[in-house]
Amino acid sequence: MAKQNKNKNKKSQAKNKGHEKKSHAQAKHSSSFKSAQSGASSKQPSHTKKQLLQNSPMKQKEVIKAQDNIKNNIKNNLKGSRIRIAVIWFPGTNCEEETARVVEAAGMSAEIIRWNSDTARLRDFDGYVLPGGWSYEDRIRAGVIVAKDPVLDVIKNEADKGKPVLGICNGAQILVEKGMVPATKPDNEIALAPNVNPLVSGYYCSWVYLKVENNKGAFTSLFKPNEVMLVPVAHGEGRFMTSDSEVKEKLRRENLVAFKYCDENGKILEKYPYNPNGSFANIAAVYNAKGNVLAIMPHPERAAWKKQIPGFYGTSKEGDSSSAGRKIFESMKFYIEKMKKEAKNA
Amino acid sequence: MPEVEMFVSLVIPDNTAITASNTLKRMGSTKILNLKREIYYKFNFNGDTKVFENKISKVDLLVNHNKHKVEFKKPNEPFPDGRIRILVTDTENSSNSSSSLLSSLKNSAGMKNIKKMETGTLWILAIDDKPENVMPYAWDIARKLLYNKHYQKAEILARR
Repeated sequence: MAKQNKNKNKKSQAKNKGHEKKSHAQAKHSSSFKSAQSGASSKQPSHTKKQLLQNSPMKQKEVIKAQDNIKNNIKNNLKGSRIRIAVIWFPGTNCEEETARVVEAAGMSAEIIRWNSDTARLRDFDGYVLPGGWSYEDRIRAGVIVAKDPVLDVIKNEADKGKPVLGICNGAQILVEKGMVPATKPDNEIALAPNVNPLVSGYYCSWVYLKVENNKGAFTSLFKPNEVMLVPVAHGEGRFMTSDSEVKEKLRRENLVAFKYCDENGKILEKYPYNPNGSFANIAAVYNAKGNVLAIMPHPERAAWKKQIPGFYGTSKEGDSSSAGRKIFESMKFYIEKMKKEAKNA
Repeated sequence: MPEVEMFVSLVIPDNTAITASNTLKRMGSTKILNLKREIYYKFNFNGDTKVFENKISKVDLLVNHNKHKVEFKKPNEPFPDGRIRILVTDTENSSNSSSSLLSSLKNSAGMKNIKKMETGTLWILAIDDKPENVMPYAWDIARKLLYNKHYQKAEILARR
């Protein structure tokens, strides 16, 4: 009896070892985007779909979906062409998960990286996204503490080499405080000041229309000229402004404004509610002079699936299809692929 | 018309001041011995100063007595500690938060006798340097971190 038990134990140990190996291999090949889904899958890596049916229906769906995602990621990684994007997480950032999800949906691999991670590792990525949130509780001014962090020097260096950097909301505030947009002078040329809004002072959130003003940059190349999209805004300090009239002229002359607030027909109306924060010239997003760094105040990652758009009443399948916000990330992918091709040819 | 300055500071640890101090040190400003922050208000009002001070210090929109300490000064009254004080305020018409606060004070807190109000952040610095270097050092710090020239202005309150 004891012998039998011993054999049984040995068998189960061997079985467990097999599980460990398999899950490790999966983890190695799978995308590094650590979503709740992939977490669930790594706990039960070798369960069959039949076994999973014994669990609760919600969990079954999630685990099956996660396993399918991992399989797809392994396939894509094996192709060896996966573009790697670092979504930088600062203390107080809170949009990193949804941002990483859209990066993945756009066909790239997203990894959420802590601000104090090894900077050498950070240089390996093909592009960077600074997501929204309240880094350092917006202490002193929104984005200013992160702008003085050494990690931003690394990102700035990589941007100078041509890698794309996208700052969304708090990420945009960080890029502006760092002077990475419009970056036509060494000094900080623009600011994101507290909103001026007739209804509320401080934080304001709503859905707004944006018009594409520049479709030549790294994040807007897949948009049609003057295309209009609906996206949410959610901020207290999002009013683009400058005290330097020369910079205003430069933004216009060099076509550095990527998006402007407008009405549903694309008409630029410099009043609330079309312009939600009092930004000068209705500016919602600004490029740097090279066109590879974009500071955007609205949240395109919250308008990347049709089901996220207000007034959508389609089927679940239709809801899962792409919406305009995702084009920013798809344009980023297109830009990196182009950059890589050019580097290869050179 | 009487005028009074109100300084509201935290009696619990001030995370913003601690973060500012740490950031400045990381940026290489090693001569800062101490950095504190106060919220600054300046009121022009009708009526008796003592009565006004007593009333305004009890308005919980501005002061929470569980965590705040309040001090009043007449304009240009000296600060006895001799520390550098940098006052950061928004430039005119740059924000509507001040006017919305004034409206709340008048309409919700019954302070209808306030005629004018200014708000700002006061940074109080103890700098370890020769007296002639202290002022330029403080200005350097202000420019680097404490205010944004596009929509804010900074002034040093040198009242000794």
